[in-house]
Amino acid sequence: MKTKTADKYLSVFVALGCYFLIGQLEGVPVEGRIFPSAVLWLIIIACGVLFAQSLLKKVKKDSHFELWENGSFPIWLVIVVIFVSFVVGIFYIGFFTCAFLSSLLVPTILSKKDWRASLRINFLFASGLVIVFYLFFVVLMKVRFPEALLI
Amino acid sequence: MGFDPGFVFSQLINPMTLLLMSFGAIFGIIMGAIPGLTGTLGIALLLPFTFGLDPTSGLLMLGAVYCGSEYGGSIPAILINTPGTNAALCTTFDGHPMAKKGMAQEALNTALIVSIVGGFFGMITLVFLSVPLAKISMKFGAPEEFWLAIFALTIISGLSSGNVIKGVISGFFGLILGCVGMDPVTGVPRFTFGTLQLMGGVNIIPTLIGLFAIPQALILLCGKGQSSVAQFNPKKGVFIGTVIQILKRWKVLIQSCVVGLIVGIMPGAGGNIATFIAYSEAKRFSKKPEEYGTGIYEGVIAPEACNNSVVGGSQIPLLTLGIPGSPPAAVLLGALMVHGLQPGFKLFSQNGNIVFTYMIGLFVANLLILLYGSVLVRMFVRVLQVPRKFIIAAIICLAIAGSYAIRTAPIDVFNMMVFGIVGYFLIKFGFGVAPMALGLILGKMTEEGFKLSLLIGQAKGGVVAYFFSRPASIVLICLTVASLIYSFYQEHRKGKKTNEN
Amino acid sequence: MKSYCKTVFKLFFVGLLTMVMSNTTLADYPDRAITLLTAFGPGGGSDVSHRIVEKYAKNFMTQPLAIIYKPGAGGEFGWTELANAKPDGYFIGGIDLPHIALQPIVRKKGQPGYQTEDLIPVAGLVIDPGMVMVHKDSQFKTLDDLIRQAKKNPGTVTAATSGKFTGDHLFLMDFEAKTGAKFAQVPYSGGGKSIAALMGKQVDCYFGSANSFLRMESGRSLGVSTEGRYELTPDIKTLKEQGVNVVFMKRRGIAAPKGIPAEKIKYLQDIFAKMAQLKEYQNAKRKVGLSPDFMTSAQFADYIKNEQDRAAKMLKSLGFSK
Repeated sequence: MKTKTADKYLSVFVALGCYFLIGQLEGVPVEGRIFPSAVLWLIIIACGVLFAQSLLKKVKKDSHFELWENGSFPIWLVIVVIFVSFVVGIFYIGFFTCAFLSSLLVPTILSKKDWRASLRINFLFASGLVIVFYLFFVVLMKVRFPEALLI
Repeated sequence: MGFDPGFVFSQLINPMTLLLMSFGAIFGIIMGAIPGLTGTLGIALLLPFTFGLDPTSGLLMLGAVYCGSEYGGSIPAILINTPGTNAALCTTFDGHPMAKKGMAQEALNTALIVSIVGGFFGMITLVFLSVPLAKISMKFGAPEEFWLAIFALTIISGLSSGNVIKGVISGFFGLILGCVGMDPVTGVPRFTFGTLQLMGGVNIIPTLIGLFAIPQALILLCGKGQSSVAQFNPKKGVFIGTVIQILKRWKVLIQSCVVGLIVGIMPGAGGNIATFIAYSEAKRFSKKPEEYGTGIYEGVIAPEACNNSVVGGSQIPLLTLGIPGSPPAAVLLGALMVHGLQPGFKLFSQNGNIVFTYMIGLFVANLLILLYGSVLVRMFVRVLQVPRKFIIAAIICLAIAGSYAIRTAPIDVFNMMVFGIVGYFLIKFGFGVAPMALGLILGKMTEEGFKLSLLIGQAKGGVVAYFFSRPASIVLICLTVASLIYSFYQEHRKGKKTNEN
Repeated sequence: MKSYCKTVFKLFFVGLLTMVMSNTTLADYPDRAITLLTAFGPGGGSDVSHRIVEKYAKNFMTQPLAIIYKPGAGGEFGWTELANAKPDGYFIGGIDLPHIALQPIVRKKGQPGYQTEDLIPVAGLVIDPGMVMVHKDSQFKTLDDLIRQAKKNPGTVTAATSGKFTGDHLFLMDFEAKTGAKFAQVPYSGGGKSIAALMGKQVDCYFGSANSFLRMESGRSLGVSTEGRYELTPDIKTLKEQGVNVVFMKRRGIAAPKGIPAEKIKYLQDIFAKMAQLKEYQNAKRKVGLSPDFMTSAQFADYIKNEQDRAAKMLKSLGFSK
């Protein structure tokens, strides 16, 4: 979709969000309410300006706003899924297991066509990374990572 | 003021002291370089090791950590567009573009050299101007805090490369984020949706890591998996060349050092605000402001000189009044007290030797950082030759480990994760992450300054009068107004230029 | 198949036995470092206090103390972590009173967090009485001057406190109730900010603790809230002497999560008791502005209970009940 349309949707969405947040301030005494409500109203006004801008601005070459290229699966979504699973996984199978798996998975996916050929080096990288992190964070910094529930 | 130069000298050439300072400096650089770990944490970690040492060596080691960390933060900022410390945030604006242009070595060297200059500047003022500057820092109260934050906010418009309105929205949203949690003035929780975790508010460090590191990792996806982040060819003589480039831009250098000093002596305002102001002032006074953000020397000189100058500035109220000017200075305060040294004017008369050895010793610490830094730069730069696919995986692991290591709280990791995804969309939709980061950093300061001024003003019989009548406030208000007028003027001029084209 | 089952069974038994043994034998406690939680950030008052404990307890402990920081929400975050930690004797934390008595009472209904009873006191270590402070150049030379001004013009005399619904606030509230004077409270987020405000003459007075006063360059104390004269400031009149019957004290100590076995509490308490006897330890605490006053686990528990009752009563009488 065109950027202008995206801007229009966004400004409405953000403005509604702010209105919701203002509602969240119920029960807070006056001194604690002035500042956030003032700022939230300012954001709503700014959204209005953004909306107006998207209606009026005449751009010769409007940029196209795409979340992903047509057809191909959005790689960024895959990486985000791996990322979120990593964070959640820490508490179930431990930080280093997740670190190893994701450090193996991400380069493999990104190697695209020749992933089989680069498997060995990806594996070495993942192992090396885990070792370095272990030495630094656990041995040197004595950070106690959360206990895995499943292992 | 009594101190014995002989003592100072003998302490400083003592190999043990130099060894400790070297260790502190390197440790500080590493702590600064890892996003999530800060100089504050580094000083706290080494504190128990100083128990077995005499106060002077112990303090010098910790001071070296402080100086080193302010330099260290620039390293990931330049290489992977992720600030290693809060104060290095602005270094990403031009540091990373420089790396992408193949000038990573120049950028890293610039950060190093300029950090040392800033450090020297801060130390000189610490040694010679402590007393008068301390008196000035006392004048800084709630209204000044508020106006300084407002002044810093006017900079937001200058930060957004693109749509100004979107930058403003992003920045204001950052302010709201700063309001989340238990409000110290009213004692009431806000925007916590009934959870305990949000009571502490949105933590700055995991949020910064999320906003910068994760989108960077996702943006890197645009290139081929095998290619490296940026072209890099090791060149000879870069160091000397960089020095010459810096000397050509001496005005920006001096100006930024001064900004760092001034903001540093203000209790409560630390490195991050100082660097924003330094960067935006450098841009404002430059003949070619549109070049900022594309990867120019000035864009690295300003924040890096400034944050190291803050090191000196923040220790002025610390040593003279016992009021730390920044979070790492607060830990140094703790260190002083544990060693039985009471900061204040008494410190200079009773323990003059220790204090002066410390202050002069920090010069030496800066030199050590220059020494080790220039060696480390050659190592760090190799990072750019690593294929993207590995960098992306490494950033993810580093972001998670770093945000957890702050205080081993799972909520910090989730915080980072949420803002990582939010940050990606912010950039995709054109809002920018820097304004939101600035808003979050300033949020607490702005609101606190506002509320406390309100309370005091009410008691004194005139809220409006209280906000506008103090001399320091007036200076800041004038600066804010001037800043706004100037940015409108700039926009107008830019509009005219494009029309002419 | 039979031999396979037998091996599995044996392994299971051995595993079970080891688990059971590792939880009960006191003989090998502690076999690794003991974590001491600080509910505030590095460099603060709690941190300095814990560093001194770490330094001197070392002489009596076979394992080191590892200090960790869990700052947030004025201590609430850290203390909730402490309350939820495993009660195996390897995780203890520093607690402050009246904070841990106040926070659960003041907390909104439905908000998750620790309860005072979730923290088992191990030993009380230091006290820090309240102090009414003004700037050295202030117009208020005596406590009477301050009270008179506040009564004549209620709400115009600004008084700094570290936070709202905290110990300082309670001190101020008690003072106002007993004198009839009305101040304009200005809650700063932390002792450091309050000290800075007073020294910068941003506020007229500061209702804080003796520790803050001892750190100040140019402060004058109008009174200390102890029964008799305070050991660290023997020249300062008590509030009682001047006709204001307010006795208020902050106390710091060590606590462990609920469920910790009694032998382990005793073990830790004895170590801290021995440490508290050391002259160097006592002097170190005095130097940073805290007065050593050791309390055993039982004494500390009683004290906490009293504080809870006191806090509840005071908040109720002033209309802040839940």
